[in-house]
Amino acid sequence: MSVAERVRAYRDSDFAIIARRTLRNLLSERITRFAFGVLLVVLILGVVGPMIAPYPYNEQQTTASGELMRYEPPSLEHPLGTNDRGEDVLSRLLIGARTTLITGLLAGGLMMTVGLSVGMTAGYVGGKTESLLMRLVDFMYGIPFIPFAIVLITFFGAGFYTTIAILGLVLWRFIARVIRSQVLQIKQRPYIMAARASGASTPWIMRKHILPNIANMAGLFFAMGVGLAILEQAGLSFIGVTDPFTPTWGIMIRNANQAGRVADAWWWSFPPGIMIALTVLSLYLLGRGYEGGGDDEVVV
Amino acid sequence: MSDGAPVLELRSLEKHFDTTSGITETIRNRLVGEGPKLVRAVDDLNLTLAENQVQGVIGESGCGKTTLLRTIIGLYDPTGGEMRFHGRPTSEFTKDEWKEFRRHVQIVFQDPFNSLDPKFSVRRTLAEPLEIHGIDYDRTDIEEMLESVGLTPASQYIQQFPNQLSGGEKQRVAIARALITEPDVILADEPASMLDVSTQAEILNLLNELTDEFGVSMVYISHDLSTVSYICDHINVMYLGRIVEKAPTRALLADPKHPYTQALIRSIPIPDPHYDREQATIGGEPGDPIDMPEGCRFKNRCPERMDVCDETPLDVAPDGDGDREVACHLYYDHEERAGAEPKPAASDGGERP
Repeated sequence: MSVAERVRAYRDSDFAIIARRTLRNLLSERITRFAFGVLLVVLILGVVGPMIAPYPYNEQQTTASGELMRYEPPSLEHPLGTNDRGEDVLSRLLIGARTTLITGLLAGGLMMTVGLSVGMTAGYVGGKTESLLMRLVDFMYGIPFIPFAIVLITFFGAGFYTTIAILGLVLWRFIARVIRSQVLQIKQRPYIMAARASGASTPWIMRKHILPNIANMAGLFFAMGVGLAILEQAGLSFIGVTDPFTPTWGIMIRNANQAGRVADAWWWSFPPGIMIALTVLSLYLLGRGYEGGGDDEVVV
Repeated sequence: MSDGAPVLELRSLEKHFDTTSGITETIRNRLVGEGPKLVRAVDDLNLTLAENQVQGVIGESGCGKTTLLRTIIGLYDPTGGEMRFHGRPTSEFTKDEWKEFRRHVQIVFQDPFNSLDPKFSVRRTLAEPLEIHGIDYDRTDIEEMLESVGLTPASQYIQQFPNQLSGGEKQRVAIARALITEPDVILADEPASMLDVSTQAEILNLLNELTDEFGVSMVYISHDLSTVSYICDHINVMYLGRIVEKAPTRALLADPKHPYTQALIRSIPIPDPHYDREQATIGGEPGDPIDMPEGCRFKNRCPERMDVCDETPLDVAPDGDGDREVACHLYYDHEERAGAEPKPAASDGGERP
């Protein structure tokens, strides 16, 4: 098969058609187009940010006379000024885009993996397995996140990836619940019975019927999971229980707060705050659009 | 297949459901010493489906039609009795034989709007059973099948998704999916009841033609006597898990024997407002399948109730006609009464408190 043929076969496959249709639905609404644009920018910043950063993020900037440039307001040289240690804020913001993005995607992916496995197993298998798994979810819901994270971090040390693991392994609970309810709903549909009646095995039905039909919901909750992970990570950074040497946006706000200059040095504290808010807002808005985009397939 | 055994045979098939919920109730039942409460959804049911035959099963909602269907397809394990496929009891099937069975017994559901996966194109919907059973196919096989269920031109439909099809087209796709593995038996669960009347006729005609063309047998389940009589060779009237009367379609319509069948036939609507008709005579609700009355299950609603109805009626051949059976005390000799009078004034002995 030539490459062109293979591309054409792929373009005509059901998956490609559905993906294209979902994307089109997603982009038909103005608010999701905006969210999509913002996320695209954040994603690009995360990829190329460290390369276009004008200065090394931890280099202390000095004037020609060798004086440390602390609390320098925005200028052409330093578009977002400098911080208490004389580091360039824009460079830190750009580096922070990547670390924030890694946190969000990894923790969100972890949440999705655990939540989806638990939710699908509980929903499809049912019976004792379901009770057991859902009691586990209830138990997870009982965990107050911030104190629990503090305790774990004192045990394992404040590492960048430790924080991600803790985020992912606690916050999957809401995904599991929603996915289970979706699976319960879908497994009653006659098309599942039709597949079973023609001899499909359980893994086959899970993979070919249930997974594609909860994909919209899973996409929505993945986006929300990424948003939640970014928020919680910023929160943990702010109270100072994450790795202080990795410049995430949350750490930048913490540093500004600790220096007591949130209001005066606005160029230092506002940009990371705005970036966090914008990213999380866009993720949640994207989720809404995704949800709406899938609806036309249910309606006759 | 040519060994003369019927394609599908049900011998006193039973499917009971345990209604006991939770552990406390189980313990209480144990202590009191009574068995669990059972829903007798399908009870002592016999049905024989010969090759190229269309058997209709008719009954009101809740009489166990759908349970029967799901038991036949193997989604439920029967709690008693036997099901034979080409003479082999399904209880002896190995896993591979079950898979083979599922290839040869296909189902068409009532609701075309939910029986097709919205994420599957028509092509994939039809390809799925073939892939499950590892049968080789190419695009032309699928197009041919689409043409034969009347979806022409096939190339236009093959890439469409269920939300782009009308109800009738969806049901045609569902029928095509059922036929593509070349089954011996199709189970149809009221395939026309959710469609417009005009589409209903088309779908019924299509099923009629296809069962002839592909040489498949069909069990057609419905609550609507008018569609059943249109498509079936034989009709089985089901009441609370049992078949109360079975007969060739014409004989049943012309001369219903069981009081329940008589009432059913009288209740077929006639589209003429000036037609003066006898009202349907059975009142009351269909009985509760948990606390079933002793003896005949229809006795509490039966206009012809007798004392003897407290005993379970036998299946007898009325008028010595070997082709039909009816489970009613009216049609065999008892001391107090022989045969049936056409319209008795009152039921004798039915007025006990």
